Amino acid sequence: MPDTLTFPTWVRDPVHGAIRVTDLERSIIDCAVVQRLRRVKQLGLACLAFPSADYSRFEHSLGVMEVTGRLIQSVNRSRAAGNKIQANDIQLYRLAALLHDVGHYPFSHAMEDAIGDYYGTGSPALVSGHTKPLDHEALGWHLIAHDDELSAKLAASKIDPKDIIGILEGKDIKWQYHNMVSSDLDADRLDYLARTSRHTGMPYGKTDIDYLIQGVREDDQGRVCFDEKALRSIEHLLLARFFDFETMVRHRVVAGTECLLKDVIKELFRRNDDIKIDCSHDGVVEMIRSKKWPRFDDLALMERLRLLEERSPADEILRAKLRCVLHRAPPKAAAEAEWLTPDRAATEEVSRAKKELESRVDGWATKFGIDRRLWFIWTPTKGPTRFTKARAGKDGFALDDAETPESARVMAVGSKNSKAVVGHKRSIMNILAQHSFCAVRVFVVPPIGEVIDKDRKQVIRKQIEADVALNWK
Amino acid sequence: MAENQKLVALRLFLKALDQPEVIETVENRKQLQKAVYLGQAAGADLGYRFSWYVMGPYSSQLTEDYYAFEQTATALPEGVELIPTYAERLAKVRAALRKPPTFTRIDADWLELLASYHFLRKASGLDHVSAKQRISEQKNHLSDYVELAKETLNSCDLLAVGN
Repeated sequence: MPDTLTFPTWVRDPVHGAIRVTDLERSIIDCAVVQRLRRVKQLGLACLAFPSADYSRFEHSLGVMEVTGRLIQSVNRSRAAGNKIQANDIQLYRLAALLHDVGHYPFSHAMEDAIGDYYGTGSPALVSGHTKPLDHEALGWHLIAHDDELSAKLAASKIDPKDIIGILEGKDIKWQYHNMVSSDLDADRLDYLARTSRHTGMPYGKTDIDYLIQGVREDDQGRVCFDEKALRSIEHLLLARFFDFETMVRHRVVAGTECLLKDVIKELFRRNDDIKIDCSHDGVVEMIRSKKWPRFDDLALMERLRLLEERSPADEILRAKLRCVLHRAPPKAAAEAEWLTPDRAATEEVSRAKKELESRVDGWATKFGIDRRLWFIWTPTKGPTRFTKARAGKDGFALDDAETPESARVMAVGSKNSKAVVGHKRSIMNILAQHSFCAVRVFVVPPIGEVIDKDRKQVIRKQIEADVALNWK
Repeated sequence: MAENQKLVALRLFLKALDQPEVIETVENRKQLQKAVYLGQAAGADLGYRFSWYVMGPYSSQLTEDYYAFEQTATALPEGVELIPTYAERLAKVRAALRKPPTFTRIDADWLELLASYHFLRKASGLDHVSAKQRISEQKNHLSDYVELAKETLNSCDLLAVGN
C-alpha cells in the first residue's frame, strides 16, 4: 500500500460533484457483486409516489465512500504530524464504506422483512436446528469474505477481508470510528439524506455537508464528533431524516404497496416450480457459492412476480395483490391514525391499537363485502419512528453517555470532551429523543373487478373511526 | 410472534445465567449487556451483535430488546425452555460470571472486565499483552484484575481456539 492514496479516477456525481476513486477501489467497483447494486434501488417502491426516487444502491455506495474519505481527511487535519491516520487505514475505511450495502436483497428492506417473516420465526435458543436467515449486514460480510472475485482482488492488494468486516461490525478497535459508519449522523446518512432530497424533490436533507465535515475531530475517547457550532445543522439533518421517513418511506402508497410486495414475495418462497426463490440461510449461501447472486436483483424479482401473475389466473386474492405491486394500483388507506407519545410507551401503544383493529376486521369485511384477506393493518415494521437512533430520557431511564454509541456527538473548540446530541441541554433532540411518532393504518386492497372510490372509502372510514377510538387523521 | 420469542429467549437466557432482568441504572444495564455478550461467547447465540464502545462490547439491538421487555412485562410462558445445548453452554459459564472474592469492585465491573478482555482477544484479535495494555489505557480501574479475568475465562474455555 502506498504512503498516500492517489485518485486516478474521478466519477461525476450530482451530490458530491466528483467522487475520487483509487485504482484498488476501481477494481473492487468492477466486481460483479458491486455492479449488481446498480440494479437494486435504494428507495425500493418509493418511485411509485415520487417518480424520480429511483437512484440505486451503487451510486449511494460511491457517495458513502466519498463522504467517509472526507471525514477521515478532516480528522487527519486536526491530528499532529506523526500521528496521522495512514493511507492503508484510510483505504480500509473507504472500502468498508463502498461495500457497506453489498448484501442488500432486491427491494432491500421489503424483501429482508419478508425473509425474516418467512424463514426467521422462532429463536435458535428455543428450537433445535433453527438457523436464522441472513440479514443484509451478515450477508454483506459473507460476500466480502467469500465472493471469489472480490476476495481475490483484495488479496492481490494484501488486504484481509476480515479487516473490512471488522470495521463494519464495530470490532476494529484501532480507531473508535464505528460511529462514522453507524450512527445518527454517519457517512451513510449524510449521503442518503442529500441524495434522496435531490432525487425526490423534497427539501429535507439540503444541508451543507462540507460545512459539517470540515469541523469533524476526535474527542478524548477517540470518537468522531462534529464542531459544536454545527449543532443546528445536525438537528436539521436529524429532523430531515424524520420528515424524509414520514413523508416518503411511510407514504401511504409506498408503505401499503410494500406490505403487499412482502406478501407476494412470500408466495415465491412457497412455490415448488421454477420461479421459487430460496432465501433461507443455506439457500442464499448456495446462491453466492454458485455465482448466481449477481443476477439476483430488482429486475429478476419483478420478472418472477410477472410470471407468478401469469400462472395464477384463478387466485383472485393473489392477483389483486400483484396488481397493486406490478401495475401501481395501490391499496386504499381506509383509515389512518397518528400520535406522538413518550418513547417508553410507544411500542406497547401501537401494538394495542393494532390488536384492537385486527379484532374488528372480520366484521368490516363482512359488512362491506370485501374478502377478509384483502384487509391489513399496517404498523411500521421497525416500530414507532424515533427522532434519533440513540435513546434519551429523564423518566427513570436516562441512558448514560456510555450507552449512546449511535448518537451524533459535538465538541466545543478547544475542548477534549464531546457530548452526545441526545443528551445536550441546548439541543431540541434532548426532548424529541424522549418521544416516538406512532402510526397505524387500515388498508384495503381493491378486489379484482371492483373499484374502491372516494365515497366507498369514506363510508368504510367512518365505520372504522366509529368502532375504534384512536387519534384518526 | 418472532419478536415475542426473541424476548422470551432473552429472559430465559438471563435466568440460566442467574442474572437479574433489572435495567434501572446504568450499572444494571452494563451487567445485562456484558452477561449476554459472555453467554453468546459461550456458544449460546441469540443473534445480538456487539461492537466496541466506552464500556467494552455493547449491542444497541439488545438495548432495544430490554426496553421492549420492560414495556411488555409479560410472564414467561409455561413449558418453554432453552434448548439443551444452550442450557449446557450457559451453565458452563454461569459460575465465571459471579464476582470472585478477590475482585473488590461491583458485579457489573467484573462482567465489564471479562467481556472487554474477551472481546479484545477474540473479536479484535489482540494478544494478551496488547489487550492488557488497552484495558490499562481505557479502563484503568480494572487494570489490576486482567490476569484474574484471563484465568477465569480460561477456566471455562472461553479463550480456547475456535471459541
